[in-house]
Amino acid sequence: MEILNEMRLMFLSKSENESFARVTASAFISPLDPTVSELVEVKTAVSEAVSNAVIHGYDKTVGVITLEMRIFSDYTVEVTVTDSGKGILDIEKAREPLYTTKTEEERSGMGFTVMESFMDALEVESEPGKGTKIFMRKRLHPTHT
Amino acid sequence: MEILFEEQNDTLMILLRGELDHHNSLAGREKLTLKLSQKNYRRLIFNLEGLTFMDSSGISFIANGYKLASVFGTEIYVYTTNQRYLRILNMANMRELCTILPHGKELCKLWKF
Repeated sequence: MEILNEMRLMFLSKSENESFARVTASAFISPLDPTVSELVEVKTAVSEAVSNAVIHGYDKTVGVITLEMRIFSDYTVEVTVTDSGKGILDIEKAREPLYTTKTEEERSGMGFTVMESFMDALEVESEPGKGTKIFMRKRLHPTHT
Repeated sequence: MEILFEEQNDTLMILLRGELDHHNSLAGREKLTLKLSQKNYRRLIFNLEGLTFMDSSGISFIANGYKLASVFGTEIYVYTTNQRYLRILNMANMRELCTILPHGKELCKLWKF
């Protein structure tokens, strides 16, 4: 499989950029002619990852979030969302459904669960004080040969 | 995101329009909190049909409404025919907090159109 296109977008961790990231992700995968479902699923996963960086990574501060995407000839989409925020103390716990460290802000703790459900693969790299990198992959149109 | 309220007797319908994400949920939550502080309702119906996007912030938004209203015994309903939103609601076990209405005919039992 060959890489068709690649992009990197950097933006401030302001919550209004959650929508901007979604729209960018949609536009970037549109050459693969995704179904409505696929488009929404990728957008939602990107929204969750970016929101996590805004709410948790940078918490009460503002930093830079990087969205990187690649699309391949076999209809695979790869998404990486990176921040240099405070990092995750316990990744396994963070990935548990309904677990959140932000109960005072009424967060549902469903971000990773949604990402896992809507994408084919999810990898999380993080260390306290060293930021977080979320990698996701989805193959669109699995019936295409 | 727009939030519209409609009342029928002791039922409040909360109609959401546009995108429900973390950013939009912040202002939306304040509006809902203010509305619920003015009157106790027997039923709340979150109507998601006008949403063009929803992520897990929608769960927080509805759960917040539940937290505010259930203290008074208010029944919470969520109406949506969107399969993805239903999936997100199920992932979060929202059935434990509210009744999910995936079909219009169930909504019509609670609301006169």
